[in-house]
Amino acid sequence: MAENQNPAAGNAPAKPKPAAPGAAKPAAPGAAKPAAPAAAKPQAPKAAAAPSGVYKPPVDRTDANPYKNNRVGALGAWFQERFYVIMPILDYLKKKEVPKHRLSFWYYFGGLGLFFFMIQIVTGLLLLQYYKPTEASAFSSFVFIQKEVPFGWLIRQIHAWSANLMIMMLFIHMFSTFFMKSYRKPRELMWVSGFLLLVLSLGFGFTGYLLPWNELAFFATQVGTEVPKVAPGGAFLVEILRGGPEVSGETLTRMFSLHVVLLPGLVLLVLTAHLTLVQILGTSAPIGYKEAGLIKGYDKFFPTFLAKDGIGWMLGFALLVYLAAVFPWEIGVKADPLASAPVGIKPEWYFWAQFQLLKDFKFEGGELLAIVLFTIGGGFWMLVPFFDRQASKEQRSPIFTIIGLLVLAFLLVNTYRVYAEYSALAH
Amino acid sequence: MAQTGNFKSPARLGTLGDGAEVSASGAVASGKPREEGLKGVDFERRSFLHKIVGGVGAVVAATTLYPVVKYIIPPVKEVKVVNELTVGKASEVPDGAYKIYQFNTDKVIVVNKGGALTAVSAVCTHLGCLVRWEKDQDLLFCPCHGAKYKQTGEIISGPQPLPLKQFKARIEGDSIIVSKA
Repeated sequence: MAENQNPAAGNAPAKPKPAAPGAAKPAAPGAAKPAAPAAAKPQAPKAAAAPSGVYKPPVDRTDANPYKNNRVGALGAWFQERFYVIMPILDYLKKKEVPKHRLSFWYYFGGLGLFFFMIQIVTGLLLLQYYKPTEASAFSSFVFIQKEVPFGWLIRQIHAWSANLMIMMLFIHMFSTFFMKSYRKPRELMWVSGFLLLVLSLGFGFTGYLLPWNELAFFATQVGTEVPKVAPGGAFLVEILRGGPEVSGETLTRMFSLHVVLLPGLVLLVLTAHLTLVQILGTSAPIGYKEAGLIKGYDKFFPTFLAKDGIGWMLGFALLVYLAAVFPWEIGVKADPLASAPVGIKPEWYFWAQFQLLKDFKFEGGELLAIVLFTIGGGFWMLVPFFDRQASKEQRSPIFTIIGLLVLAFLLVNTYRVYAEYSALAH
Repeated sequence: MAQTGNFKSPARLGTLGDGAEVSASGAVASGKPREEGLKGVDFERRSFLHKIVGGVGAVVAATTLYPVVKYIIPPVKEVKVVNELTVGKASEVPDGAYKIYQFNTDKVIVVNKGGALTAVSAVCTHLGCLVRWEKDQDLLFCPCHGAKYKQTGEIISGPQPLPLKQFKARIEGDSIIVSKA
């Protein structure tokens, strides 16, 4: 881009000029390290000589405003003049393209996950205006939001549904990138950061589940935080998580702080890395598609693909509002630490597969084995780009496709078993 | 597509201008060869200073983290342990009914079967849900994962590893008194 190859962005004037005699410090060996100041020195005496007393750093630009001829408005020019350093980055982002082929459909789910996450931030902030995270008032403030606050029911239902849809989108996104082997070199860290985002999202789900402080949430959290106890060091972790030996008001406050402070911060951090990597490395296409001529063309990411994403987001938003209005989540009964557990305690659906495995492993040490299996399995899944050498050489790797299918089948079958068992209980 | 072009130096990087061409080897920008610049550096002294700075840093980090870690470990609540406790009125647990009471650090389920009171821990030994009294089946049942216990806490069936801890319950006058077994 000729118009952007301005001297201000690069270091064009940095060609080694002989040190100006006025600024002549004899260049001692080792003292000549900083390159840029050295280049700027020829202009420095002028600024230093100004008697005003206010130091102005030397600016090594040939033109006072190299962007004055650009086709932007006055405001844009104002920003360009000050932040010209990022212009090459913006130009770089403009070049991102998304390949078009018959599996392009699956490219939309990551963006949808992001969309539902943004909904979560907004609705979460709204819920925070009325929610009180203490044992005494959590449930009543939750009911207050649902019944008294104008549109409170809507905000809460959207928050609950959007959480579920977000995790659903992340699962779809994860399996589609898995089967397209998009994790292969050079995108290993995109996969790893994506996996971390899924884990953090599951953490959001788990910590958020308790906040309404109803019976179901109370006992689901009781069961969920009891499980790690069998692992070495688990009891200590559980105590910290619960804020005491059992699930109580302290647990509520701790879950709340994780849900609204720690996890959002971590997610923003990892999400930034994930999205930056997407921009730098671009969108992957399945192995062999380019060679086979299956790529029908490329969409510019800004603005074409983003606009298409926008269509997906609007469909997602419509679905979200529909679900929130037509299939409301229950309010439940206030948690009572001295009441028997109600029938049909189960976690959220995205923990059902693990839940079912725990129930199946009834033998001595079965729980520990299940935890170990899940830890190893999760670690393998996270590091799969480093195991799948074939894909990284742009060769098909059917073994990993089979592994992916087995994992998917395990999750679906176990999830369905929990669904079948508990819907039978409900009737 | 496989990767668009050579991902190690994609064509897109060209827009980053001359500044993107960072070379890790060879001369530094001022034109001085790097080797000359490092001549005379005492590496033994440098590594010693590295260790000192690292060691001091570790001590500072540890002294900072210690109170934080201690802070998040919940303090143990002092519970005054008693041998017996009046937990409620006898009318709260009529024949065939049950109720869970707090007794010291335990949650105790008091069951009234034909006027005779029994008391066992209400915390299922499987995953810590609170059990209920199933009058019709004459057993204690945990709704979370289907553990079944006798009224006295012995295991009937289910995933639970241990029986329920036993307590004693009696009626004195109008009140229920729970005591250690």
